[in-house]
Amino acid sequence: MDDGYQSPFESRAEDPDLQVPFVDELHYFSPSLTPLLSSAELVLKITPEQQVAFEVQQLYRYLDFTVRLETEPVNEVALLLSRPAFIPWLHPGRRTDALTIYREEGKHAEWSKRQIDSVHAKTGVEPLDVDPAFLGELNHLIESEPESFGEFVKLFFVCVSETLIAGSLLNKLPRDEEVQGAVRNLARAHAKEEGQHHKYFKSLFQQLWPAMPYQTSVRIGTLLPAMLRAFLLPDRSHMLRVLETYAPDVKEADRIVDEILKSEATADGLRTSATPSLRIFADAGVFGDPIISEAFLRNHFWLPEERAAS
Amino acid sequence: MRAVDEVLAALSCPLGHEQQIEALLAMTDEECAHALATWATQVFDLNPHVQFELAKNGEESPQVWCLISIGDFRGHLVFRVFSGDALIAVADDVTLGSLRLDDADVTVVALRADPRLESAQKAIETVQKRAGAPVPTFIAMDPAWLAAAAVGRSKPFSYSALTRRGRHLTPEPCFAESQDGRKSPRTAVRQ
Repeated sequence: MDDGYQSPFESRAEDPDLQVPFVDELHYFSPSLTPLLSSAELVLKITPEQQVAFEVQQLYRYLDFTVRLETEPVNEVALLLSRPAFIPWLHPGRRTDALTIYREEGKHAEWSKRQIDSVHAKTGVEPLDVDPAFLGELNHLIESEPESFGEFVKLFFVCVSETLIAGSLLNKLPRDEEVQGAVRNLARAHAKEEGQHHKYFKSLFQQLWPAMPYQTSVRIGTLLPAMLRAFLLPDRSHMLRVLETYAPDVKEADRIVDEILKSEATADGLRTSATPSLRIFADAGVFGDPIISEAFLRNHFWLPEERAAS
Repeated sequence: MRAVDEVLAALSCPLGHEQQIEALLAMTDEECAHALATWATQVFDLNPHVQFELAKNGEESPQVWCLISIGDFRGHLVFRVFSGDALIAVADDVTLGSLRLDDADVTVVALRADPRLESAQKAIETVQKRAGAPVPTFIAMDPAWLAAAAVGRSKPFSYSALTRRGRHLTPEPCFAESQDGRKSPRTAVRQ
């Protein structure tokens, strides 16, 4: 409902240019990064208009994922890290930097929400109300662990999310010249700052891991593959809702979506995107324990050089 | 959630350093048990979802018995300190029958040994392996972990009071010698 609200905020100098006009000839999201469009069977069944709706919804998914991730687990952990009582032996400078992360993550969430609003205004495509799957996974992981461990599990969940960045679509999206300029600008600016967050959480992980007792490290270590999957696996509920909303005539939507999720292309994408985090884990000695490395293999995660050697 | 998992989470703290291990080795098993009892009391004070109480019966021993309640669970937690020949004997006991105490619901095995000695390190690794991970059957505190607890009085990585508003949480990385100025609590003994 239009209640005449006028935002008192204007773009700041450091903000990416989100005002680049949308152009009909350009995609709202890379087709190659849109999981539904990886199904050859589905692509044959949909119209160009449906394909545009799929891409816009994938953009919304990515932007809403960012809003929820940054303002919920990441900033909850950043706030905790800023407080002297949480892991009290951390360097004071790390606590101040945690507040920098808090500020920047809020900014990324704001950019993302603004872009949802502007794409919605331009295309008329309504964002679907589907909670990102990773939040459910995080809740499940926390509830499956002892209450004392709740914040510790969340901390590692955030270490995983913030170190995944180098291999994620944030780095692929800006390079796709067939995608809208405003979308690429946001992804580029976001990736630049997330590069610093990657370094922060990488060094935190490397500090914490060797300090943990053996049984604790195995407990946390065997959760890491589930954390990677929570972030990287395409969102089943969202894909089904997109099909239900924009392609209700498509039969066997569940089967098509499950085939996408089980495909070798999805598995390869997961491994490629997970590589930066896997390297950090390897450097910290995570895979030195056979129980943990088995948990990664069971979830189809391994470093490219390990696969080549085997 | 199993009680042994809750205890593992509550007791998880950063490993101690070399000087702390040296100080641990200079303790007696009884002193180590006393220090563990004090530390555990302070740790569980940070975890109000667990009711923890030392079971005192006035005798000294390298065993500390405690009562714990978590949700519907109520049972006995025992800390057992092993060193020297007793540690080697436990490691050689493939069935771990010598670790089982009929009344204990959760057992924490505190391994007070010099990890630089090959025989001790081998025994530590054997007990650790048998303790189980990621789903433990009991908890094996190796010397670095035990030193952090008994000597360093290190605070745990995480605890349930952490995000409870209004609770006073201090920024020190370790507990004060005694949380309320009293001497260490006496440990309890089961024959």
